[in-house]
Amino acid sequence: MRNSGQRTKADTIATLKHYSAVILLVIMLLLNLVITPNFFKVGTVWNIVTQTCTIILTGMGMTAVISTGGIDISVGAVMALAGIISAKLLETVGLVPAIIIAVLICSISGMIAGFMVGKLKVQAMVVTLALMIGVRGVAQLINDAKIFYITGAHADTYKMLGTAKIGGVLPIQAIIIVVAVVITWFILEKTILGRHIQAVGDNPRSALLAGISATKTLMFVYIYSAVFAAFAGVVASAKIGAADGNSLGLLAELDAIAAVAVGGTSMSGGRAKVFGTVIGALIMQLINITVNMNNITYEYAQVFKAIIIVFAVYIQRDKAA
Amino acid sequence: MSKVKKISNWFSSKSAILALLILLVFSSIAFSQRNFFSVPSLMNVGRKAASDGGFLALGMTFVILIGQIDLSVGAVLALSGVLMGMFGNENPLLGILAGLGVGIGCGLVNGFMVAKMRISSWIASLAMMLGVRGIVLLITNQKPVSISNPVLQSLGNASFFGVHILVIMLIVCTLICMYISRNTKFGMSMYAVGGNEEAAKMMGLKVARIKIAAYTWCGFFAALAGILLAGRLYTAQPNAGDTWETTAIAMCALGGVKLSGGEGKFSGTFFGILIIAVINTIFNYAGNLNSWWQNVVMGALVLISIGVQSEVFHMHRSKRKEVQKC
Repeated sequence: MRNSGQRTKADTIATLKHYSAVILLVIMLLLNLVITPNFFKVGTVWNIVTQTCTIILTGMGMTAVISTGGIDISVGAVMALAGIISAKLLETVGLVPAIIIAVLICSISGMIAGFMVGKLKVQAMVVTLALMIGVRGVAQLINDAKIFYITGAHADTYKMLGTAKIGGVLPIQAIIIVVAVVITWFILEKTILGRHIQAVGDNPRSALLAGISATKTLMFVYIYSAVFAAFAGVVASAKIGAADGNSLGLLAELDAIAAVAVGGTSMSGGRAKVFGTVIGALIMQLINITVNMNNITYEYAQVFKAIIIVFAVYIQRDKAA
Repeated sequence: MSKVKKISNWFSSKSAILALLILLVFSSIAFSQRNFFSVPSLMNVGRKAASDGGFLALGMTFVILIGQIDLSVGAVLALSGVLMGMFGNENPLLGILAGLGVGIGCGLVNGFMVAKMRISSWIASLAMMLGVRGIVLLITNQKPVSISNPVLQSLGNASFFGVHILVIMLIVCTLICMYISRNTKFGMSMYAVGGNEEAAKMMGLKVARIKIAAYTWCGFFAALAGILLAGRLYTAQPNAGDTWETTAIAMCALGGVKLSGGEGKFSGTFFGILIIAVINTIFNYAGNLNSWWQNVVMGALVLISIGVQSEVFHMHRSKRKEVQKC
């Protein structure tokens, strides 16, 4: 429609809608430029990058899951499990094996979700809700619901995962974000698997008739989400230097869902917008930072966040839906 | 249909009741010295069922039946309790009306966002949850509001003929919900909208209005839960009901309410509420057991129960469906 040469009013509106998340981000940046002192300093920019890392990591998995028409609300609990397993194993098995074991254990959670959604055809939300409750319980059990402070021989290398700065400026999170986004973008946009994911989300019946195995696709998507959530948990626990089964990743699933929705991925599936999710995550984090740097109380931030989420999703919803 | 199939079908359709019975038998054997299976102890279970999110689950069932979700119930619970504490200490009626009114208002706004603005119910109610919780923290300054009026206190603590008022309220509310869902036009249309929205629209149902009504009921029950909880504890906590929305959804899921909408009964939710209350009580009784096992058991139980209810266990039925679809 937009390639027809002439631009009508409807086209302009469609274009605006298409880029509405970007426009919102720019507006928020400009607003901050005016009202927030010291906003455009290098430190602030890196600060935003470091703090968005977990939202983007969980958001990448969530984008894949939501574009199949499902949802994964267990990511926060999986983050806690990964954080506490890797922190606890660090002393005995070393850095890399600890992380690998944590990710593998967390991928079991994804496997259960994928199996139940894909094979047993249970609604994604119930399955991941049960996993959210259960996995959170396991994470609490591992250290008796106490905070585990990371100490010992490998502690410093582990903490580097959350605090290192390459060349003294570029935080390691920036690299992690780029790698995660590129992998997700490549899988969703450039591979057959990615087409399958969106086809299953768009119309499961016709995907079935086209010979796409929904079970395999869904298995992949939920394991993918769990693996990314596990990495997010590792990074988050490395950044604070401690792992807490109670609070690590609490409500992270809601941040991730909000980022995905604000970024323009349709909640009913069939349309994945990887970069939209990145922008959505940045918007969510920008709200927090605006509020912090202007000494606005946290409660106003929540109300403000609520209004922005509703507004952003409202302007880019499908008319036909 | 063979007899075996018939029996297995009956059991899977009544799996919530079955699970409850198994749990009751198990706990009455395990805690026989402490008289688990006695009237006061069972009353205690009932009271727990009502105060730990039972009403939220009833409200949530309305929303789930139309195929949507409401994450804001926990926050609305806190808001209504706090407002009742603020207005109700001089004039209890005003307090109750303020509490219930704000719940209904939140439900209306949720319904409006979902039905008229066509925002996904996840996002709409998530925003509502953040916003309402923010408002609660703002108006209370993060301090609990004490409930000093005796009328409001008795709202959560009175008992009639030895039966706690919360238990009576829960049963009465369940019966009302069952009546609404079975015998009214609104109840029937909820199932229609949840089952197939397009078809419901073509049948001439006012889908938007039904959605808003379902959300309003959900808000009303969340507010009722808030009022009763605040009355029972003599204070309204600003962080009351935090993460209770997940418990409420789990209660519905355990009760066999299909989370994609259109299938499920309020009686099922009622048994789901009881199951979670019994689990909670078991963990209270087994004092030496690590209480974090509670989450693990609850998660596993929900997984098992939905696995049993899934279509794979009704092969013949799903195959027939498949043929019809093709």
